[in-house]
Amino acid sequence: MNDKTTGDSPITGDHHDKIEQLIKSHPVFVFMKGTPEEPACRFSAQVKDIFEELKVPFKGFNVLDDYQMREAIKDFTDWPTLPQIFIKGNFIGGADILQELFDSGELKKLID
Amino acid sequence: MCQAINQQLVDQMEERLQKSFPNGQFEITDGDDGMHLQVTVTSADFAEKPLVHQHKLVYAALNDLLKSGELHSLNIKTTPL
Repeated sequence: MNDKTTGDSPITGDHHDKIEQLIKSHPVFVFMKGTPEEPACRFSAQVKDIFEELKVPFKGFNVLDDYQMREAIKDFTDWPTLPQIFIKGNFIGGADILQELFDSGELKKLID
Repeated sequence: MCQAINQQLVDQMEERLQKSFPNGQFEITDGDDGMHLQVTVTSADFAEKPLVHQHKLVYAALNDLLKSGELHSLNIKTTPL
């Protein structure tokens, strides 16, 4: 369950710079387990389904490929779980919040 | 990657939530898929706060369980009182 043994060097400002660049690289950016094409967790799949429904393309970063970025994003947002969704560079929350915003119609307004 | 329901974990979560939201109401149930826990919290602490902050308060209450890896993902539903 705990895979902390694989990260030996600390999270640095470089990681935060990289996160800043990524979240500005696309209007909808998601740090997730797996890829937008092949999500590897139910919650990441839920995110894919919602954006598909809205016909909004999104870019993703697969944290399963990069342990340090997986920890860095949690540190950056002060949010302990994945996926994490950014719209126009702003942190929106996780899959539950995305679902609530989608159900209320607010998500579409945030993206348009 | 996903975890099965574990009563001991549910008890620990209830204890943490009780402590963090002494006047709140909460419910922990199996999620739709029987794999993830659904945590529902109703508290006056959520009033006037954005959803992100409401969920952060729940994560903060469960912080030690998340940090230790005992709990790694859950559904959260918050309702201001």
